[in-house]
Amino acid sequence: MTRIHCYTSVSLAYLQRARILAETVRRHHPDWTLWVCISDKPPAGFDLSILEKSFDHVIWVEELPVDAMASWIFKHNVVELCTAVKGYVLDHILEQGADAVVYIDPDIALFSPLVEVVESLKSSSVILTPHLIDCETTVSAILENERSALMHGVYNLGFLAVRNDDIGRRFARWWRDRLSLFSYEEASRGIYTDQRWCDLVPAFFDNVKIMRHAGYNVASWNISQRPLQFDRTGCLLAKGVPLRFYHFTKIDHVGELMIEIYAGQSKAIFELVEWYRAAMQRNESSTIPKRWWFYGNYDDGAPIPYEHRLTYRRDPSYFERYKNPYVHSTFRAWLEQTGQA
Amino acid sequence: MISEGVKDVVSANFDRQYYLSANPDVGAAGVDPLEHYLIAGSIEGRRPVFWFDPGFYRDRYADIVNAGVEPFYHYLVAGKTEGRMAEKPFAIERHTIARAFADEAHYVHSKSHETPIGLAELIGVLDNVLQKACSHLVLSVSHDEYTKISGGLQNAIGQEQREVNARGAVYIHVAPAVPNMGVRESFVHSAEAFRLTVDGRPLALVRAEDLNTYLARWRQNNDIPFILTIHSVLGHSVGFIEELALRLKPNRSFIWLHDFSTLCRQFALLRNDYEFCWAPELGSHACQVCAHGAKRSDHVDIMRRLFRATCPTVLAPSEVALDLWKRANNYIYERAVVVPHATMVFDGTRPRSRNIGNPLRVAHVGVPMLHKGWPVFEELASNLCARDPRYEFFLFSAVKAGSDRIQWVSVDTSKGNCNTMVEALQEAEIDVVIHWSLCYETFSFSACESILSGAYVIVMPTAGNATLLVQDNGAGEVCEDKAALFELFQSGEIVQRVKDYRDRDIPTGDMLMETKAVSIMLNGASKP
Repeated sequence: MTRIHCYTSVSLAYLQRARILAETVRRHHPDWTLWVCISDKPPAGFDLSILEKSFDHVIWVEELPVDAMASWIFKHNVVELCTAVKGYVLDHILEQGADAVVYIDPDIALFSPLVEVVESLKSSSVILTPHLIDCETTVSAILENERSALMHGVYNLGFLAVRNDDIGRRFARWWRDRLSLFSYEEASRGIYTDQRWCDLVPAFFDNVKIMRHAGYNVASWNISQRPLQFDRTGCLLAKGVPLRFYHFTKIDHVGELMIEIYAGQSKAIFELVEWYRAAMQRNESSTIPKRWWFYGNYDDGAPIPYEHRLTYRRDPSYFERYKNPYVHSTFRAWLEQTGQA
Repeated sequence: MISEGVKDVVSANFDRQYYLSANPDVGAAGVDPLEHYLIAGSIEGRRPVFWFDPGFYRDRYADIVNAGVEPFYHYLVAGKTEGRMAEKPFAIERHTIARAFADEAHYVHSKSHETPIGLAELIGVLDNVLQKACSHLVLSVSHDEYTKISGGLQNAIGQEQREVNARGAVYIHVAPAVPNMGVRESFVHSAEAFRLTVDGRPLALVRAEDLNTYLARWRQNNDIPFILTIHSVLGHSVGFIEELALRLKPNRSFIWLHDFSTLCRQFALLRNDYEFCWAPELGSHACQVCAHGAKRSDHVDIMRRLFRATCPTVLAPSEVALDLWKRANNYIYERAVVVPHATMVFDGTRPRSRNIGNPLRVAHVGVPMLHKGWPVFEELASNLCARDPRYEFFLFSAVKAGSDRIQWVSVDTSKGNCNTMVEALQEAEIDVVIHWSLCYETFSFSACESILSGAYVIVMPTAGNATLLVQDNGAGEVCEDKAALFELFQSGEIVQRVKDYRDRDIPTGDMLMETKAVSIMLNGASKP
């Protein structure tokens, strides 16, 4: 296996995280080719060179082969869109001839080489990492974590690895197609962006590897079962095995709360959190305004409420009537006229 | 309106001394601290005791806010039993880690605003000192003015200086003009200045290049052996030492391992300033996530230059310190020697009786700081055992700290009698010393003092020479972690341990300061 490509998906507000990811991937896998897909448009004065420093290839969302781009983008909030593009990008990179493609969320940092994944890609077509690899033992943890996995997906799609073989290509096309239609945060309706779809993968496809190594995709939702600890050689262990990567999801009040509840006696997690915060500060770009997302506003600058997107996407008749709902005088005007704005 | 019931419960647990110390504005206003807390302080998030954070409690437990219950009162009557947290978990460690990442100021060199004396004046001052016959000239380098700062390293330098003088040698000491913990690579000739101390007398602020010029000239005109001894290079530039070594060609050069600043700028090898890291390899996970890790490679390169330039004899205060240091570097040096600062002489001086205290008298010895285990001691004394009649808690230090549950005994070890602390511990009849240093101690005067006093000493397994001293002398025990330490006290098992210890007629004694290092420095030196 010689040509492994790795990609991530962001809006520009998450670029500093993606740069940390890129730095850590380069450190441990200097031979991998790095891609980023940006579901955004840059603000005036944006420093494009920071992309070139971190990534080998950049794809902007409007370069993807999506029909009715404006209509499609409008249906999604920023998280949904950054997820919806993942299938297209995977398919594209496989088409380019990579031997294997690894997807990693931008808020993940590698701490050691993903040796088990590289080895598994010699024989497995699709590699997934589950949210949980151990049963919870308390009622609160069962409700918090196991039930959450049932609602949001058994596997965390912050990580995915796909080999460029027949099964891998079929998976990529299937996933692309599902995400093009239904990459939404509607857990109560059985859809949660890209994750719930992948619950079907072991049923639909052969040669699927469920990576249960405790060092993969450690995060606030499983840290109670994978305590982090440094050994005397300076190796960071998760449940006694080397940490491969940590998922710094929601490094804010909510995320820190979960860590506090589930960290137990493991103080090392707080070192990781501060390290990551310092890295985020270092990688901020002053040329990206805070909370920037080009697709978050109508063409008159007014923010788009999520309810507008929900209304739009739940009625296919709107897609033809309002091909570009970003034009405020079209879809939004209709909502205002009908008292739905 | 605060009900009497709430007031009574809070009052019984409120730490007035802590509150006034943490909130000087309250004392200055002449307001009763408890009243202030109940009326304003709680809402403002001011802690009633060091271990409870009302702001955190309100933030975490919305039901308390909704019910309008005062947080500290709730915690005392119900919250603790319900398993609610009194403060952010690992609050001290997290604060320390955050500060490690945020605070680069300690490592930045800054220029002094004072004007150094000129070369002519320096010549006059030093000619005056050196006009008398002397056997050797010793140039000593460390990170601060040892005559003005109290501490183990400073005391050791003072002892060395006095012994050097006693043998007829002159002792010139240099410290950075503005102390800092960084080590610079380049010698900025015009900018670098030293606080010069000669034979124990602080003399002047001098330019480094002037001192270099003077010493080079002196060296040319004198046949007296010149010895360079580096106790610490923090705050200095390696470039200066390289230039000095090149021009002056010392007869002998020494580098001390008082700490591990030759391995990492975090001289105590505390990863993110809070946990001993064992000096792992560069590029380890530990270095990757440590606030000091990114600088470690450059730091090691600078140290490698220092060792190459001086080719020193390495002096280590203990075998364990040298073992760890050797394992973690590949520097060039001539040889390494273990030279303890002092020896414990168990001559039965001031023997302890077999009767132990009731309550048991438990002490923290030395500076009340995080890396010396103070927060753990404070938590034990002021929270866990705050009202435990079995124990009484003490702080033996030059600095006062702690709640009203901890009695402060002022002890200044910086001057004169090296057994000041031993005597103080014995006079107070201390039964137990909790030596909870987070650092891998290279020597540990405080462990020696505690053992010599006849106290039962409790250490962590990672306390380096302190751990070894306790184990080799059978003078206490090693506690794996804080939980084990707290269990020892909660269960009361510590009382039996101390009884068994004192039943053995344990030896006591005095510390004898060693002079072997000075003999090595001065012995056999001749001009190359």
